Amino acid sequence: MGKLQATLVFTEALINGVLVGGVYALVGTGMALVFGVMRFINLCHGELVMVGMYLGWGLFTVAGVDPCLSALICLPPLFWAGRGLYRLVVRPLERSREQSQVLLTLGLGLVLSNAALLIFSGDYLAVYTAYSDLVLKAGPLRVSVPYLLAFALACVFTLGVWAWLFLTAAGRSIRATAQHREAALAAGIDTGRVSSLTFGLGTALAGAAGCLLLPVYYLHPGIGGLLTGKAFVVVVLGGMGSCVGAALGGLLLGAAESLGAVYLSAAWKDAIGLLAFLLVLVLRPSGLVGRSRV
Amino acid sequence: MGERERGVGAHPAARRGPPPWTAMTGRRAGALASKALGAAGLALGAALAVLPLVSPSPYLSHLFATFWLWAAMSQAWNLVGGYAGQFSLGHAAFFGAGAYAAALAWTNGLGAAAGTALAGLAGAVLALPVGWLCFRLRGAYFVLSTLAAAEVVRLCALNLRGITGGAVGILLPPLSGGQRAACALGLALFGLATLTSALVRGARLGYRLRALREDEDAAEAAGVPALKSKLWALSLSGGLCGLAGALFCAQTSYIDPGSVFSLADVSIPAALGALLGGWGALWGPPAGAGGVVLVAEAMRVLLGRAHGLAYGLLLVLTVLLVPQGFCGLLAARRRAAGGEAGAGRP
Repeated sequence: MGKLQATLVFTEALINGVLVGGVYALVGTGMALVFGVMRFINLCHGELVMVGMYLGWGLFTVAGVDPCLSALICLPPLFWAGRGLYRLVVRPLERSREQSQVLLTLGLGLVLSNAALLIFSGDYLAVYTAYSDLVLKAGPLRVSVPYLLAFALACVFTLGVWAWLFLTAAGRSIRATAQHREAALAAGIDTGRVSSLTFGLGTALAGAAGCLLLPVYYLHPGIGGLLTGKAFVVVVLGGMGSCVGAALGGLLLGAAESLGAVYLSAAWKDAIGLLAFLLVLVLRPSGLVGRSRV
Repeated sequence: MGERERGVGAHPAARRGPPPWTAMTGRRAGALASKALGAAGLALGAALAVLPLVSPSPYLSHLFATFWLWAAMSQAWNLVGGYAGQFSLGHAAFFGAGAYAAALAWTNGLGAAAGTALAGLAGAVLALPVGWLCFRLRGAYFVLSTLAAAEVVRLCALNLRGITGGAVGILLPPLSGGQRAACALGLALFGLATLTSALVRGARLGYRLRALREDEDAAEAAGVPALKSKLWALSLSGGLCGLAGALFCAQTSYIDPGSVFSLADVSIPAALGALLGGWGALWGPPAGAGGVVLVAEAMRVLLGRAHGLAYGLLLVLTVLLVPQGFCGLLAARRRAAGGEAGAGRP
């Protein structure tokens, strides 16, 4: 009986970890896309996720829109907001030193999170949907429905982005630019427009991920920094700039955190990801799966 | 790592010497003007340094104590970020380690001096493993690894409740002498930081660090011990940050992991002062720190608690508009005008 119990605990922790990991993967995919195509390190990605969360929360409290639907509604405005952001502050620094990009996006993140603090105050907000407390029982295993839903939709979004990248002309030009910018330019691809599209897409994905996180996470202005950290760990684990790597990295980080919280201590959960990040950077900079283009 | 061809930390302004057609008279007039400006600046600085020490206003003393603290932090950051071109965003780790070392020493009955010395030691010693890990990486990866390292140290302070008290923090008796004493101590710390910076600048270490900043591979090929030099710089910087942490702890008489290990409230303002004022220059960091403290204070008065917004806006604007900082800008302009004095001499 004791052994069965232990197996159950392990399986549940693993399942929960993978479910959260699906959303981490979606957050990381946006960042990986921007890095892979533009070689631009976007440290305000988590704050953009936070913007999506506030949008979803606003839609829910004002109009009662379900967060899953808000994830779709958020896509166009955040896509254009991302393109605007690219035009305004990212483009002047696209070819400059990496340190400047880090500082710039860190500053942008501070502006966004402090603006949220001014507008919404530091209160913790949450969205309670009809399915918030539902639990799915499969034999002795119990799985939370909102987590499952967030995971399923994150998978749909991630697969949708891949399909878009592989099946459309715009997606092809983005992949071409990621593979070799100069060659893509020589082949007649407007790489400036590709960068703008990519940044818009990354921002839109961040917003969608924010809406999907809404039933799972409490929302507060400080969450952006936390999510940026997670996204960056995911991207580095997967090999900088690889979208497949980011997806795997997300699942891995989710599972590692969940298992670590069960078997080590919940308090050290966040340290696990950071230590993994430092170790991967130092020991295997190309990431766990990706090829290195860094 | 891809940034080689773009040249890490190269001063574009520094490559150009004075134009050959510069007339002697123009040069002499420029030097004279800059000397007069320097003397005026020094007099103003001395007046500003003494004023809050004799002023009865605790607010003024508090403001100046804060300024000296961040000027010293920026000066310390500049040793690594400016001279060696290693933009660390992990200096909160050393600041917080110093603050905790001092607080624990003082609450356990050690004297003021012993606690302060321990704080400096804690910062300097912690810098060694952090640097050993992070200096393997370059460019943006170095920046991110320092960020992660500071976060790991913060989580340790938060979770080692037996030693640090965890999220509750440590409460200390208020500093005898109040804000005026904090201001005097801050001035002393700033003096120490500036002296260290000036000494390093002229010493072999300073030249090695600048060589590493301009081209790490070339410097190593020429025999500069890269890791050792950077570790020395980071350790000195960390020691100064540890002392600053002790001062912060004495000034506010309360610390918790969230405040002393904060990225937004410690690491960023330390770096921002140097970046805004002109990293790599001797007087850039304190000038920049003055701007940072003033803007943050103005935002606090106008908007309440959103001084983070001020740091964010300043960071964005600095990176976009004055990437070399104001000292770098002044030096470039002076060169363009034909003068030879270079405040941003690399």
